[in-house]
Formats: sequence, C-alpha cells, structure tokens
Amino acid sequence: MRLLVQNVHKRFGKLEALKGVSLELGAGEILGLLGPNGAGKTTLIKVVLGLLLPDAGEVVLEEGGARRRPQGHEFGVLLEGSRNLYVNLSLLVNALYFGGIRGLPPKEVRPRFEAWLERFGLKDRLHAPLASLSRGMQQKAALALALALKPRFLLLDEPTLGLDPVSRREFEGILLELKKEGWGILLTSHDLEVVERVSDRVAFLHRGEVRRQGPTRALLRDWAGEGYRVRLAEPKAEALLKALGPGWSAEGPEVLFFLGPWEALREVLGTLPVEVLEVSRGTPSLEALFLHLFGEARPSHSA
Amino acid sequence: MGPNPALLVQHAGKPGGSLLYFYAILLGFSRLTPEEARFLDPGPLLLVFTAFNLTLFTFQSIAYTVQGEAQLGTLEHMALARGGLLRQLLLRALVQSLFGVLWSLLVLLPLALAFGVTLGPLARWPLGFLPLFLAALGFGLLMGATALYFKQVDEFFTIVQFLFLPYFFYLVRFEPWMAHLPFAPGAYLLRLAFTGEEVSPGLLLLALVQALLFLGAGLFAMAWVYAAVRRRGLLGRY
Repeated sequence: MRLLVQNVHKRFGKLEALKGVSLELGAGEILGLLGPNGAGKTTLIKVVLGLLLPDAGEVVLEEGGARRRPQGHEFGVLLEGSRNLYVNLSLLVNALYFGGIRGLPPKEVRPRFEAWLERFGLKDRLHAPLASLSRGMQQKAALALALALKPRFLLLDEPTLGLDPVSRREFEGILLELKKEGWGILLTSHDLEVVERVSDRVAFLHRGEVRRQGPTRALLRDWAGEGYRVRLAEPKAEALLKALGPGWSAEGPEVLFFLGPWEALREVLGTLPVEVLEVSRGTPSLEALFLHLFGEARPSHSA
Repeated sequence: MGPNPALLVQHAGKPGGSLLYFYAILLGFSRLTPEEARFLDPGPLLLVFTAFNLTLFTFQSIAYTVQGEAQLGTLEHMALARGGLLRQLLLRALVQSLFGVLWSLLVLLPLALAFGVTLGPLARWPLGFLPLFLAALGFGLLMGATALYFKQVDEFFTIVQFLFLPYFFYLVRFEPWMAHLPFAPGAYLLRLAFTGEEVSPGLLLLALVQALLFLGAGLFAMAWVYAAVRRRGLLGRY
C-alpha cells in the first residue's frame, strides 16, 4: 500500500504555495517532510487529507493494483496550530467522540486509547478535562488519540511541540515501533535530530517545491560525503571551530564534525585543548544540510 | 465520574426558561381586551410555538455547530469524519431536532394544562412534523453554509432568531395566502396534526414542495461552500 502525491499545485491568490509537489509514502516507512516556515508543509498535509483542494495534481492511495482517492478518516492526524481535541471535554469523551465520527465503536477505541495514555504517563487523567492538562500533556493526549484511531497512515505536523526531552525520546521509540508494525508516517518537524533518527527518507520543501528528497543517509552522504564525528568532554565546539581549519563544523556544543581523511584528523586530535571522548565515522547532520539549503552558508568542509 | 452539576443546571434551565418565557407571553396576551384576544387563542399559539422551537433547534444544530467548531478549531477534524462534514452535520441536526421535539413537548404539555388547551392529535401526527423539519433542515444548511464561509456570524444568527419569533407568531392567524410563506404550510400542518383537524392534500403538497425546495437549496449551498472553502483554504480559519 502506498500513498502517492502527484504533481500537486496549490495557489492562494498571488502566492503559489505548492509548485508541482510529488512524494511517496509506503507502509512501514517514515517520511520526514522538512522546510523553513512557510515552505508549504502544512498546506501539503491538508491537501493529502482533503481539507484543501489542489488546483492541479492528485493524491492517490495505491493498494493491490487499485488506485483511489483516500478518505480523511483513513488518516491519523495531528494538526499544528489547530486544536486537535475539545478543551472542555475529558480525554475519554474526546476519544469516544472522535472515534465515533470515524466509525469506530467505543469498545475498540477505549482500550487502545487507554493503552497509549499509559505509554505517555497520562492514564490517571482519562476523565480529566483537556483544559486541566499542560500544553505538553495536551499534545501527548492528541497523539494518543491519533494513534488509538489506528489509521492506515499517520500525518504528524510538529508532533514534538511542547514535549519534554524524556517524552520526545519516548515518542521517537513509539514512531520506530509503529514503523515496524507497518504504519506509514509522514512527519514534519523542526526538531531535526528526531527526524534524522527516525526517518527512512526525507524531503526538503522550500517555497512550495521539493528541493531534495531521498533516503536520509544517502542524501547526507551525497551532499557532503562521510567524515568523522568528534565528541568533546566540554561544550567548546563553537569556540574551537574558529581555530580549526576547513572541513570542520559544529553539530552542538560538544560535537564537532570533520570531513576529511583520517590522517588529517589524527594530527588535529592530538592538538585539541579539550579531552576527546569519542570519535566515530558518519555523515553530517540533517541540521547541517537544512542550514545549507535554507539558511547559513554551506559548511566549509562540504563537497 | 458523576454528572457535571453546571451542565445539569444548564440543560434543566433551558426548558425551564422556555416554559417561563412562553408562560409570560401567554399571560400577557390573556390580559388583553377580549376583542383583541379573540384571535389569540392559546391553543394555536402554543402549537405555533412548538413549530418555532422545532425550526429553531434544527437551524441552530447546523449553523451553530459550524460556527462553534470553527471557533474551537476542531472543524477540520470534523471534516475528517467518516462520510465527511456534511454527513456529520446532518446527523447532528437529526439528533438535536429529535431532542428539540421532546423539549417542545416538555414545554407544550404544562402550558397546555395551565391554559386549559385540549390537544387531540391525529394518529399520524409525526407526519405533521416532516415538512416543517425538512424545511428547517434546508434553512439550517443555508445558514450553516453562511457560517462555513464567513465564520464570525453569531450576531447575524442572533438577529435571525430574533426575527423568527414575531414571524412565527404572525402565522398564528393562518390564512390561505400564507401557505406560500416560508415555514407557514409546515407550521400549519403541525398545528392541524395536533388539533385533530383533517389536512387538505393541496396544503400537504405545498408544504412538501416548499420543504424539498429548502432542503435542495440548503444541500446545494452547503456542498458548494464546502468545496469553495477547501479551494480557498478557509475551512479551518476563524
């Protein structure tokens, strides 16, 4: 089963929000949809859901050789900037209502919803009104509901918004489990570390166009090749970067990335004024590629 | 978890408020001079009030649902329901109208007792509801389409509701030419169904044609506006 977005165009007045976007999402796959604010990610998700009608192009569900337009209720959704649940209703009533309008009986929805709430540490809030929960908890509850509806595909627009680091890690684990179970997941997030860790493929959207897409690792390798990640004992990566030559970039306060031969790295390692905890082979981060495409200048080491 | 006391008060308060409201209106009418009060027989007045309530419930169930869901930000989720937004709105209208019928009866019966009105409903009295319900459904869809496009229309809806009350009271003194006015043949049919008078086939036909015209226009408007807001990206906006 595959979800195909084919040559979708969408214009709002003078603004061309989507310019011939084509994507593909298969079962058991996580596709990271990335791009700066206003790139068209949410517009694309709404087109997929049928909440927006495209000017041209189509969204197709391909299953066993048959092709058809998918229905909204076949998707689990977490919409960004939109209330996903009723604030004055309890979590349980929300779940039963949204399950009901999607044609799912309470006896199916309730146990699944409770199980997900338990995973998110919210089981004891089942009867509490959504309004009594913190923003992060509300996000978890909305996620739990999206998962409890057991859709064919999951479309998550900024799902980690408001989640604490522990919950974010937990969420990553859940995404990987769902993938193994065969769910197809479209994920948009500015949390690039999460996207990099869980996505099989990524697509970069900019001004309504797909600038690059492909398997995450291959995309990074093709962009900059393989190099070495150097983990420091102290958060001095940015400070050291100024003294290091070409080929170096910082991936966080304690992580440097070097693109170049091992011999050159070995020479530098001995001169660093900070203890090195670990050196590993790898590709540059997704964040580096993101910055290269949409923000800062291309890192000096890149090919 | 026990029932929410605030909700109980709210739900019990609605019919209670209606009861007091119409009791006050009827009491006021009964104090008029006999000549003026001749045509203000509480029987037809009460039955027109029932028609008014049914129409209002059906209209509110659709129009206010769209407006309220847009305000809450959950309209897009409602559109993802099985069968889509229109099916959900129609289902809600059906349920809330049934509730409206029960509510109207809850208010009608004590008032009928209080003013000594004798009701003699026909065995097929529910059929008397049908044309009015379908017309109200169509009107509700028309207003729902307005809400779907413009969203912030609650004040407009308040005005519409305010106009409904005198309009329905105007229909108390039913005359044949009124059969061409909106909701009038349906409201009159409902009245006849409860007083046990025979219904003329011509009036029934007129009421049904009007109801189907309203319903057709409402469905068309809703379908057209639903496509328009999805084309223009206005569905989830408020």
